[in-house]
Amino acid sequence: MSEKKLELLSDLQIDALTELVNIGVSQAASSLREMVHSQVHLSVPSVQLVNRARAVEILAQREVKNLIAVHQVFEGDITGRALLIFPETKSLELVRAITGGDLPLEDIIELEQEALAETGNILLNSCLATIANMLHRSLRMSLPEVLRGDATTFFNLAPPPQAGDVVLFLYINFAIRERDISGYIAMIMDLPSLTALTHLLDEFIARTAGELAP
Amino acid sequence: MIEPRHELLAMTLDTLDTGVAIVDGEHRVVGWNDWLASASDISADAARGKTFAEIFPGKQLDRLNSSISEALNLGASSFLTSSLNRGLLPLRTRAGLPLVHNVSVRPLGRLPYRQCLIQVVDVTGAAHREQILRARQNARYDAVMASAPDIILTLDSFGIIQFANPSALTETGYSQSELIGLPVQQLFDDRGSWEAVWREILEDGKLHRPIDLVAVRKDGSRSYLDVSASRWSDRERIFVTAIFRDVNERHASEETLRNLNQTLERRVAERTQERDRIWQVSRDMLGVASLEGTWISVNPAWTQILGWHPNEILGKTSEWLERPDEGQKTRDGFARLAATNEAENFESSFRSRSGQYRVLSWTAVNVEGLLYCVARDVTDQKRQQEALIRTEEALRQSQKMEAVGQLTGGLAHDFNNLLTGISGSLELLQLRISQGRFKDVDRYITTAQGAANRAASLTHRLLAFSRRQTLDPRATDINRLISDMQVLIKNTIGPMIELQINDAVDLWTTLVDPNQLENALLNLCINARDAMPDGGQISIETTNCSFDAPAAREREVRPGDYVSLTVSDTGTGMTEEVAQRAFDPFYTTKPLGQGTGLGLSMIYGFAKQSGGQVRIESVVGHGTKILLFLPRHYEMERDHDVAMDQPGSARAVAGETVLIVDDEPSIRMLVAEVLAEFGYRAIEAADGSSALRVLQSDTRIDLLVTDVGLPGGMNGRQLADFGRVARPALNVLFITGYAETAVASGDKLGPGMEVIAKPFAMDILTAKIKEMISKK
Repeated sequence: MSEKKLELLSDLQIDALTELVNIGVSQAASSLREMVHSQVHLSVPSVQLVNRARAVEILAQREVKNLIAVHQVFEGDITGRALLIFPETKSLELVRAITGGDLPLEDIIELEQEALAETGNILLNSCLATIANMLHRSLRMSLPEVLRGDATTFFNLAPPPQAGDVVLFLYINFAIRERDISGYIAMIMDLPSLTALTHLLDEFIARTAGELAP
Repeated sequence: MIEPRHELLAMTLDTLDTGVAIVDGEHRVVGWNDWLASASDISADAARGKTFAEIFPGKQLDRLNSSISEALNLGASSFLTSSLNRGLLPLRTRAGLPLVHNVSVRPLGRLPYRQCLIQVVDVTGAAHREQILRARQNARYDAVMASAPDIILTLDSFGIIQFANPSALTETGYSQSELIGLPVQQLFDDRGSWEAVWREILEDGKLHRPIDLVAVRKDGSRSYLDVSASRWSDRERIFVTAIFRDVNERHASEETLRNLNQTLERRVAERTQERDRIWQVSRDMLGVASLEGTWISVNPAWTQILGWHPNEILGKTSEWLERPDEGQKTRDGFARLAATNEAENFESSFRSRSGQYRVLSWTAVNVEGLLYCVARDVTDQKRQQEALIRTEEALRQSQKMEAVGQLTGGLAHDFNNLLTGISGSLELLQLRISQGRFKDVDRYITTAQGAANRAASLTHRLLAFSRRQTLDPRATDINRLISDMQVLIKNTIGPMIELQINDAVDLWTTLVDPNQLENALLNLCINARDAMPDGGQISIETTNCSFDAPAAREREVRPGDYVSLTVSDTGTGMTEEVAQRAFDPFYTTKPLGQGTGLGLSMIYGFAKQSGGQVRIESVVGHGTKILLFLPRHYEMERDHDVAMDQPGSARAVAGETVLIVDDEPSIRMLVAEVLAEFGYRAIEAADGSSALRVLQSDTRIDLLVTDVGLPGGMNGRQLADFGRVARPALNVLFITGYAETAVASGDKLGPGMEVIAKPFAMDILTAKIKEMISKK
């Protein structure tokens, strides 16, 4: 069933999207590098388009129940929510990686909320902004918010979703200060937004192909 | 000052407790509210038209600039926290203290964005409060954490180490950075135990009791830790602080104890197994019975020996196995056992499955109300014993027969002598009567009578063997007796053997038949000489000795004073077996015919009959010592007839002379008679010693005619040998009625020696003598 949904985007479109996302995260990586003053590598090995239920299922299968997410809303030609999700286990690790140094546990706990919010903000901004930029479109994005819970919580945030929501599901690997942390970026959007994205992707493909053409 | 479209809006912005700045598309400030002016100490006029980099030179503002760009170009909103962007802007509070702030950057208006809003939020209060709290806490905890000898770890709800105290580093060998972020279960050898501990903590909030875990240090070594832990939470996050105490020492001692216990168990098991094995393999019947004799446990040997299975034995007494006639005896044995704690030994017979009785030798003891019994099957042993007794009986019987045989032989010899004397006398009597020479008749009658008398004397000798001879004990000085015999003994033993006499001064007198003692002494010396064919030394020694009761018992005599006469040699000695039999009548080690075997036996009989004792001490290869003990006598010796007969010594006459030696006078007389017929002169001797004296004198002797078996310990053959010491060319004619094949057998005879068997006809004897003398 979820596989059918995938048909909404062609292979070519998916490839284009994957490329865009990777450009976005590399932009994020350079932003993080500026902030933490250390080598940061980010990569998105694959992009999947699934429905909401499937997204919940994937997370439930692969990850522990306790998850943490940085949430931002985006508005524009495409509208929806962006979530940077990773297991709560990795949360403190990520904060440690970002803050570097040997901060005491209490400090790490103290910093966790803000540090996650900012880190998530950088990542999501870069991804969304890069995509929007490449697509020659503009998106307005909210400030980040840190959420704790499970996949179900994250994918059923109020207001209730419009019918036919889809989830653009990205796997993301962080490599910061010799720590490898993997997580997910999920973009929840409604069908009109997906349709808009499809068109935008087609334009992008046509443009890119045109540029490549002699 | 902001360019206000509305007075109210401008007023509001300046009144806000938040910093607000507005930048244009070139990142130049177009708005700067009072709060910001106050905090940065830079007025709105000073800020206007400048970028942030220009306003705050030397500050690291890349992140802020990118955020502004993103906002303007992409519509992105950015959040720069004080946590990650410490001291982003050089702001101060009204009191002049550093102002901790968060910054957010957002695009203003609609696409395309011409302006960007930058908000600065004061979080100093919150940050300070936290810092103070943390400092207070840290001061409190750091002291504990840093100095604690135990490992203290704080784990998040996933078991990831978030905090580790200094002891944790030293104890585990990991560095701080290695330990932080490490899943704690990786520290444990047995992850399963840790999982259990972890579940209990998460579910119940704490461990109900300390639990031991085995940790693996970075270097792989193991460490025993006792863990106590409790759960706590902070801002919805769950943490667990766990304290691990080093219990290696305790574990080491427990381990030692456990090892000891294990080895103890093993040793006990081994012992038990050993005991069990003994029980199983013992050839002796082992069993445990109640005091009433009911068998409780028996070992497999019962089945092997008796054929009954344990279930046939157990649960009842062994009455059904006992011999009907022995039942009472066995029951008495068990009753004695039950009554005491002493081990008891008794014998009884049990019936085997095959119906035969096995003789069992029991050893049993009563220990705490149970009878522990061991029975050895001695049936075969008993049979062997009986067989041995029977064999011994048979041996004794055969020895007796042999003795009777020898005795018969001896008797035959003597009787032959007598018969020769009697029949010879009668022959001559007949001759004289036919010649009408009645004058000599009396003489032959007397000779025949003499032979008859000798028969009486033979009886006398037989009685002596059986220690029933008639003795003529007199007070005797043994030293004097020895000195009288010294010459005779010296001559008898020959020059090869040295004679030494050690007579005790003040030797006691003894009551003994001196003739028998002389005989005995000579006999002992001859035996000693025969034991030294290559020469040696004979010692004769006398001493006084007193035996108290134990010494007397040992020597089988009555306690009291004794005179000992010891004859010792340096000869071949005897084996123990020979020494034991030395006193047996007719027992001899000498070749048949060389000794009658009666020598030592007669001495024994004589000594016992005189109230004394004889002992042999002998070592093979070293010599033999015969000790003769004779009881002390309290009277002095009477006058002794010093003038000993020297037969033949006074009658040296020219002409051919024959020495006739025979213990049988009739034979001596007859032979002398025959010789006189032919003109020979005859000298007669009754035994070896008197004959030897003649031979050792200068009396003319042309021929020695001697009986082989002679009384007094020296036989005819020996007499001949000794005679030839003085007279090498001496001719010898042996007369023998006893052992033709031994001494006198042809191949053993040297030149100048002949033998004639008794009884013989006078004319044959005459012919032989004639032949031998004429040969000379």
